Amino acid sequence: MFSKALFKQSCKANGIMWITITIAVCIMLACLMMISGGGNLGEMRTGITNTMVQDTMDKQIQSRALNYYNITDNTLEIINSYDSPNPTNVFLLTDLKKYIDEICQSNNYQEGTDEYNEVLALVYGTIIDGIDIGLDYTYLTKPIDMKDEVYMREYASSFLSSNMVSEQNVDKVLNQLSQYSIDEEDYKNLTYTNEQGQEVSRYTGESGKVYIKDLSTDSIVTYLARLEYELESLDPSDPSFTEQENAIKNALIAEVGESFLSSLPQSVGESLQELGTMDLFNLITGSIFFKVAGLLLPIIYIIMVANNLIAGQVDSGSMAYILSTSTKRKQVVYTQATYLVGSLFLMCLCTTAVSFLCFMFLDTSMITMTYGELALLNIGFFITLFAISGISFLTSCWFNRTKHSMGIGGGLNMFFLVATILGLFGSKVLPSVVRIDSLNFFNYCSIITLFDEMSILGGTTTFIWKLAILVVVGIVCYVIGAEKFKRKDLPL
Amino acid sequence: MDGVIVIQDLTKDYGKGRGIFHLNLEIKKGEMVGFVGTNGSGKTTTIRCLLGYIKPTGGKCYVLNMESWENASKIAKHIGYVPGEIGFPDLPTGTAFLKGQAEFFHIKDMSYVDEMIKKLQLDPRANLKRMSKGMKQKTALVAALMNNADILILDEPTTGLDPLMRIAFIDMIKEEHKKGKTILMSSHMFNEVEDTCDRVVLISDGHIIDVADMDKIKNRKIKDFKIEFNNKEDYEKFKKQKYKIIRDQKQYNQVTISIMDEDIDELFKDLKDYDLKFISEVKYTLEKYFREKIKEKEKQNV
Repeated sequence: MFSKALFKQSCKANGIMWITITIAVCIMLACLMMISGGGNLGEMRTGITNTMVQDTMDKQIQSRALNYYNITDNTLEIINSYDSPNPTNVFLLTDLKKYIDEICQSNNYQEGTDEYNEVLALVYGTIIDGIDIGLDYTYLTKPIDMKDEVYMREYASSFLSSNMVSEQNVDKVLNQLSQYSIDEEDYKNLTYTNEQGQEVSRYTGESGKVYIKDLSTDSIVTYLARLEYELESLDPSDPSFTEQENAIKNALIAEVGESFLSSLPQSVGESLQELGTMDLFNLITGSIFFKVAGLLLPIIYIIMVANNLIAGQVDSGSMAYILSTSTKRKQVVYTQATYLVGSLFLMCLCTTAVSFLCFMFLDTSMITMTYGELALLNIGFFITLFAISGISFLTSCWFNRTKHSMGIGGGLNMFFLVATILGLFGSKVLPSVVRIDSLNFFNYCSIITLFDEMSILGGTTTFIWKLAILVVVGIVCYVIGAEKFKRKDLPL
Repeated sequence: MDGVIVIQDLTKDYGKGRGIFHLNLEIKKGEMVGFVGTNGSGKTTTIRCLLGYIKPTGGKCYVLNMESWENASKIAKHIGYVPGEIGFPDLPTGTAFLKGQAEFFHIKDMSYVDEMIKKLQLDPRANLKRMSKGMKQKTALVAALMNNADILILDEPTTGLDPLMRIAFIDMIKEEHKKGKTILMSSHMFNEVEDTCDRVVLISDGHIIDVADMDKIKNRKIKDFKIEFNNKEDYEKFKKQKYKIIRDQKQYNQVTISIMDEDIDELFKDLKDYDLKFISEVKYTLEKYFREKIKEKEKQNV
């Protein structure tokens, strides 16, 4: 069945190509794994997410500060309509309650909800400084002059800042942020440098309070300055003056409050969110290397060697020297197939060894992939190459001319690879921001798609039957090729 | 069957009248047979059938009483084959190639190979791909003779060799013949097989036209002479003699006559009375023989 001399000859003829390609593939794999798992990419990703979260948070705070300022402003107007404003004045309190209900109705806040209580506290707090309604007022400076802008600004920003850092609200914010895959630690790590040059937390604790208060104050100052400027152009005698004034106020608040994320189209915002939750190591090692980039060189090896093993030797006539030594055709085809599959198997053993070695050096805390999944990826890699080599071997056995064997077998395999590359841009592994869904069509015209790395990494079992199909394709191709070679006429 | 190689009604039809049709041939042990025909007449196809590389569409061929297609690997043991188109495996040097071939044959002792290399003045260390045609032929011959097979099949082995190399090459083959090997050598050159072979098979358009016994051609009873006379009178006078004239060239006073061996004496006696410019024997060649045969065949067909 097996011809040792022929095997030796095949090794000598194709060994250099095998070594070169195996080394190239292994180096490529090692580099990719070290880069994608080395933390740099993870940090970059965290950086993007943090910037976005921070931007959104800041804008939210600024917009809220303006809201609070306006509410405070309106409340003061109500209070000042009384000659001697007194927290115990029932009429004043009724008016204030009316105003609170008005705000809550327009914003759809139900009585008893957090939002409702917040408005309540804000409005009542404007006048009843010190009344205990469960909020911390330590930052509120004493009202000296009830009409003082500074007082209103201080009050609104102090209220907001003490509110924001309260434990209850931090929990709520964290709950919201979990969709961006931001946890408590990440949240606390959103820092800025304070006046003493220390890195302190932005949104939590005492330092957070200072930050939020400053941010709020700044935004209110800016808002007031802009409002003043805008109002100058209006005529106060105009009957629609109040209407226009309100329109300008709303526009300014909306402008300030617009966050980076909400200013982008919704789909882009969503995809950035997706980018935040993406596992880059899995994408680069699993989908890009084992399914696309890593296949290229071995496929070139397969196309060249499969052709060299049979069709090339028939075409050049050197097969005559093998057959004239009473080596059976069956032996020839069996030996050559063994060489091809064996060399691919060895190549995959090398990639397995290299990938395991690199994996040991990686900081696995950032990576969700396991050794088992990595081994499965390597097995899938081998099976895919086996099926591809089957196709090339079949055409090599079928045709007597190199150009036909390479043209058809190699062409088909290259087509599969190119289709997979194009299909990658449409496949679900890519974040939707760079995905072109219509290209997913190409995944349906390539057998490489049957190597389902997403299933392997996702922990499902669909990859098993898909790989089984690849194994069957490979075996069928090798058997048909062998039978054809045994029966055909050889022009030697 | 006594023949080492027996071809029975062998047909390989490639369609459109190409291929070989109903060939019959038997080659006995120790015989050296030439296989002559123009390019594309079916020589190589026949050889491929013999070696079991292609499956005939009709008829059978046997080597040592084994059917070729079924027993290709068994008969390969007994055949040394030099292919017409020499394509070596992808190996660096001639030495590597010969060593590889020896491994296929399970030959451990390379002394016979070295001896042949010496005899052929071959330097096998040269790069296989950069070898000249002659070196490649020599290397191929060494590879074919390596396992000392009883049968040698050579497909146009001398094509592309220079005349001196060709002589050396043919000598080598002749030597193998002397050792008692059965040899089948194809060629498209008549003079090459003429000198070496015992029998010559002529093939044309896939049909065997004739099998010529070289002995009979070389020792033919009838000889042709070309005679030129110095003057017209003698020429005219000679023409009136009883000799069979096969060619007459008036302008040179020249005739070519055909005569039996036993009559030659008489011819020379007669010629004493004539004033001759020259007399020379026109050699009867294989080529001439085959031309006649093909002409005959064409006449039959018409």
